[in-house]
Amino acid sequence: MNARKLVGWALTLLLLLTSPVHAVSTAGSSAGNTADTVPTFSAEQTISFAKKVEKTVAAKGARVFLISRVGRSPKELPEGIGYTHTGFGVYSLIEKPDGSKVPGYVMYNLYQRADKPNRSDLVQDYPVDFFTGVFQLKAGIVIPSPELQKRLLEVIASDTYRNLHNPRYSVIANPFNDKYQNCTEYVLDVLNAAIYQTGNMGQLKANAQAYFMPQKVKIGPIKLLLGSIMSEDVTLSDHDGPVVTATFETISKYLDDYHLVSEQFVISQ
Amino acid sequence: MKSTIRNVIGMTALLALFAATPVHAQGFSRSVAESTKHSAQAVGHSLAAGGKLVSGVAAVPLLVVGGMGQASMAAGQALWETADGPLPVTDENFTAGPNPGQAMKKEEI
Repeated sequence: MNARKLVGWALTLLLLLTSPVHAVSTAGSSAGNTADTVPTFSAEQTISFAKKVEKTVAAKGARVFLISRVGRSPKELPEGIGYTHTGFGVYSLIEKPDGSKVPGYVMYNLYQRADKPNRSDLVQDYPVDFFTGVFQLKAGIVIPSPELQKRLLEVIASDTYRNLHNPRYSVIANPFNDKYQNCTEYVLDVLNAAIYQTGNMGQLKANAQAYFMPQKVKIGPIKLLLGSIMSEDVTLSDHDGPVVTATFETISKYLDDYHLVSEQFVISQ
Repeated sequence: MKSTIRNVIGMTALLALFAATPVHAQGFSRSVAESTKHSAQAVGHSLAAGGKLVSGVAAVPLLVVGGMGQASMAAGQALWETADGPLPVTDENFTAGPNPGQAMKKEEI
């Protein structure tokens, strides 16, 4: 094989390796932001937007809501996926260093670990933290029905919330089994625990299979395979057939289809 | 010729590794994101959004007592029983502190 052909193969391999990994690492479920994005907003802009989100949902009386952010350029995301991280916002009493308490929202997240991306933790932070380093100052919001909000808050305040967490992380985790989990699958599990009032994972997965329509990950099989080889947080071992995952959009639709949404909208800068 | 091939393979492997390693890029973007958060914390004056950036010490969900979870509450019953209407939200902006491991390292310095 001559040098020219070898360069050609090498460049092809490079192309295959670069595009799928960035496209597949879509969840961006890390504290602070996702991989490969450079924040373009000042501290003041981020703080202002975070407060805008708080005031908007507070004006609508939301005790708990789903919230998503855009951690990388939408051009880099697979078709059908517009957000890179999803969590819950919970209306709370926040204690300040001086001991006084004020009302506001706390964000409940599943985040990848920075030093071990195939593992995750449950992390609470605040709206400013949630939007620090995003690619776009944009938030997808779903305010569940009042009854579902009540049930969600009960789950979040119970041991079930922590028990539903699976620290084995995959950015394209299959929402129909509990081998791995990403932020959106976790949100779905918590929602279903609230809906069905059970923390039994087997039951939750059975119900999800019956009623939830996931997003097919539209990346070629070779690219996905290379991604699973090159990235610690990408695995295909929990998929039997087409690769599917939960997304903010599919969760929103799921709740909407079953009339469990009070309101859903997008907040932009 | 052999050295050319070797160089191409080596260069391609390096480029592929750099491009395909999310941990490295994640570390870079995290450090930039961290600097943004620290920059936000350094803003000591009141902002148009309403207030300083302060560290939240703790937070308790305001929710209903009873039901499945036997959840604890703080003054939330009245808020929940308000059927509709806006909720009060502080004008202050909060940020989470470092995780316990990071906080311990800071203490040791």
